[in-house]
Formats: sequence, structure tokens, C-alpha cells
Amino acid sequence: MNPEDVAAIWITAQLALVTTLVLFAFGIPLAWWLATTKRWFKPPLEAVTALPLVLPPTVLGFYLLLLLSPSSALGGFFFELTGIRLTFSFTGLVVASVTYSLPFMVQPLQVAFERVQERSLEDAYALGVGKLRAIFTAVFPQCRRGFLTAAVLTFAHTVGEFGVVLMIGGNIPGETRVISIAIYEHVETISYADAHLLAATLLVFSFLVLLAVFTINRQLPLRAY
Amino acid sequence: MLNVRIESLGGFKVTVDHEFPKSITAVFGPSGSGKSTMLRSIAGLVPTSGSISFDEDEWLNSELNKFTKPHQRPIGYVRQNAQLFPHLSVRDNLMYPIKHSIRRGGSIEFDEVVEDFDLTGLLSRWTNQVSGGETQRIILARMLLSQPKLLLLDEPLTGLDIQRKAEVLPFLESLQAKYNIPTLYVSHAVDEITALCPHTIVLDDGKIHAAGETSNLLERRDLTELLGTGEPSSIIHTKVIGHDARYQLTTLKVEDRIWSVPIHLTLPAGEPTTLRVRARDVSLAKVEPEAISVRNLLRGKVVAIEDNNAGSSVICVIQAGHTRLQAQITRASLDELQINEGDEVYTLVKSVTLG
Repeated sequence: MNPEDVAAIWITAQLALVTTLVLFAFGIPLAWWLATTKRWFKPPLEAVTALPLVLPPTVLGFYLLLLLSPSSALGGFFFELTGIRLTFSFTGLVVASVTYSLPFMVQPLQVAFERVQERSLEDAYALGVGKLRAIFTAVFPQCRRGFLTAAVLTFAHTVGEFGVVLMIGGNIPGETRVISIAIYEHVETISYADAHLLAATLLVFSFLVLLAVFTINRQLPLRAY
Repeated sequence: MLNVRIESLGGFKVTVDHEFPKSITAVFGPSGSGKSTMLRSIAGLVPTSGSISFDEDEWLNSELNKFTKPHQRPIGYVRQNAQLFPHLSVRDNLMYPIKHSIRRGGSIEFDEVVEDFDLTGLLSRWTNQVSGGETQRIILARMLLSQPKLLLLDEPLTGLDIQRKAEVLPFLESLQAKYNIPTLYVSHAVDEITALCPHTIVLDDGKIHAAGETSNLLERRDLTELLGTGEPSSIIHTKVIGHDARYQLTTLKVEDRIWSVPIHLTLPAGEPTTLRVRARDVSLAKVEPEAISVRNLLRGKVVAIEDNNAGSSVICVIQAGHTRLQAQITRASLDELQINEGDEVYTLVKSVTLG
């Protein structure tokens, strides 16, 4: 494998990990809020959260490009503040991935929270346990499958991105070139051997990850959710 | 002392103004009458206006905008279809309030509760490895370990079959005898109530319809429909003498007589228990009958005769020592036997329900 492809694998892994961590930080509170609120703007917010599922990546990429470019208000402000461009940079890729993978984090968590939160919280209150403590000791442990599913789906989905990544990150070797783009590049330049190597690696990796999830999910319910 | 003066706002309207005694009060009424909502209001789980105070603590006073959060009220609340935490073992379920509750340092000890509820053999199991009756016992034990000062039990025996009920009921009884915590006990089953609860309030359509001593309420003919007893009945307090395996009977002492009823091995000898007797299962005789298959007799005095079923039958109220019994007989029999208030009669009880 040539060094550029190794770098692509490394960047992809970093991107998927950072995206998953960032989405944990945002996704857990958001999923909790969606699972517990009875306010009228819950459905609109749920719809917005689910948009990346149905939109072509190019639509999302196009608007993100407009929003994040240094000549826009948001992108310009961020550039002024940190000196980091949000387009054609790794940071930009993270922002795009977080947006694109949001439903894969939020939906499994929301479903898991909705199933147990109300009665578990009431049971904990009745035993003299306050809300925050009850969430961490009674609700979250029962949502282990939800957490696992959310993390794996987010990670795997980020690894599999192409369209949004290409539009926001471009194809800078060692900076924004991820595996999917490297494969595309090899195919374009008719380097099929290199394409095969990367594609097969990704195929095997994805299969193994999903196999691990389904195996663990089969064993978890024996004593917990 | 629990003082409740509330109006629930959460979807269902319940208006209650009542001072609950410091023992067990049954909360009775048809489904949809507001029993659960009232309990959830007291527990602080549904939006409620009004005031709730317990001893010196005011948990709710909507005029002063005062609201004590649910977990800060020292309440042991067991909701309908209560569950254990499935991610914890039986032991860790019981340890949960000890580890995490803000109420600590109470006098109720882990080892003692485990022994009282006979849970020693179950501690290392997972929650899906225990039966329905065992689950209910663990839930009650876990509740006790949160050191509650007031118990709200919402149909803790519902969903259990008769055998499981008989398995858990003695634990509920001894819980009261030993820990003596004021309790509101919601139930549909008259038998549970007569066994456990000296006081009863009857809810109907979100309001208190009647309140008082359980035995008095059960005698009230205007409540029979609400209570679901369907007909007038009496409560008799007795003491278990023993069991007769050969004839499959349990013998009981009722006033100065020995009664026998179908065998009920869960009742220990020497323990007090209650019987419910339907008025139509009681016959009257003017002289002591001999050579008769009914074994359960009492001698007493007729203290009242009241019309029943639009006059086709009457209810005679008989006082025999401390026991009050209602007998339903036809008006024809009444006239033929010439029974009047003040007469000495013999009551023959054909069948009973054990508490």
C-alpha cells in the first residue's frame, strides 16, 4: 500500500472517531430532550434531525459550503476567531460529518431513552434518588444497546461518506483525502490494483464491525437492555 | 399524619380533601375513579394544585408556590406493574436505594429486610430469573430500604394469580405488623382490603364518596355497587386455631365458637385473621339447630331489620358479642319465623371468604 493510501486510512479513522465523540457530546442531550419533551416544536426538530437521512449528500454539501466558506458570515467569523478555514480542511470535514451523521447518533439513543426513561425515573425518585443521578444510574445503563448502536452506526457511517466530504473537504492528500475519495481517485486514474486493496479493506472492516455489533446485541439482552 | 387537599391538573380531575390516619388506608373505587392519580399527586409525579402535608413537612402549597421534588418526599411508592431494574441483579436492586438515595441512615437494615422477605436465596439472581411473586417481594423490600415514612402502594398484588397473591399477602401483613409505616393501599380486591386495611376511602369520579372504618363501609348498602362486593357483607375478626389435614379444614375461633373453613395453610395457627361473609350466605334460626350440615354458628341478638331488594327480602343485622353479622332472608321467612328486633337468634353461615 502506498503512503498516501495509508494516510487516507489514518485520516478516515481520525475523522470517524472525532465525529463520534463530538456527536456523543451533542447527541446525548439532544436525544434526551427529544425523548422527554412534550413541547409543540418537538416534531419540527425531529424532522430537521432526520433530514440528512433523505437529502442527497450534494444538497447538504452545497449548503454547508455556502455556510462554512470564509467569505460567509459563520465561516468568516470562525476564521477570524481561530485562523482555521472550515472548508477544505480537516476541521471542516468534522463539522460536515457531524451534520451528516447526526440522525445516526440521535435516533437510536432517542428510541432507547423513550423506552425506559419515564418509569425508570419514577422508580428512582420513589427510592429517593434525584434526577441527574437517576439518569446515570437507572436510565443510561438500561440503554447500553442504544449507545452501542448509535456509536457504531455513527462511526461506520462517517467512514462510508463520500459526497459531503468531497464537496467540503475536496481531495487534499494527507489533509482531507479519506478512503472513499482515494478509491474514487484510483478508479479515475485506472489504478485498479490500488482501488481493489482499499475497497476490499473497507469491505472487510465494515463487515467485521457490523458482525461484532449484532453479536454483542444478541448477548446483551440476557441480563440487560 | 397525611393531610391532602388537592386538585390534580394532569389530564384527570381528582379533588380530594382528606386527613389520612396513621395506619393503612385502603383506597378503593372503580377503575378510572382517580385512585392512581391521587397517589401520583401525593408522590409529586403529576401537576397538582392545592396542599399536601405530612407531619411537619409541607410538600405542596400552590398558593405559596411551594413544591417538594418527588425524590425529596420520604415516600415509598410502588406503582402499578412496578418493575425491578433489569440491568441490576437482585442484590444490586436492593442495594440501589442504599447506594444512591438521599435518604440514608434510617433504621431499616439490609440483612433484616432480606430475611423478613425471605430473599437470601435470590440475591445473586438476575431479575428475569425470579417469579412474579418473588419480584413483588423484592420490590417491597427495595422500597423499605429507601427508608420511607409513608407508603403508597398502587395495586401491588394485581397481575399475580391467586396462588402468587397468597404467597405475597403474608409478607405485606408482616410488613405492616413489623415496620408500621402509614400506608395508602390501592386495590380492587375487597379480600385484600379486609385483610390489610383498617380504614378505607372510596373514590368515585375523582371525589371521595365515603371514608371510615373498613368494616363499617362494607356493611353500607349504598356502597355495595361501588365496592364491587355486589351485595351486603360482613367482616368477622377471628383467630386461627389450627389445620385439619384429614378433613382439609382450617379451624377458627369466632367469639365463643369453633368454626371450620376450607383449609388455608398460609395462615399460621394463633394468628388473627378476618373473614368476609355475604349476607345471603347467612341463614337464621330461632332455636339452636341440630343435625345440620352447616358447621358455623353464632348466637346473637337482632339489632336491626332493613328492607332489601325493594322489599322482597330483608337484611337482619345481628350482634353476637363483638361480631356484627348481616343475614339476608326473604320477607316470607321473616314473617313465618316472627323475627323482631331484640330477638335472640342463631346465625348459620354457609360459606366465607378468608381475608
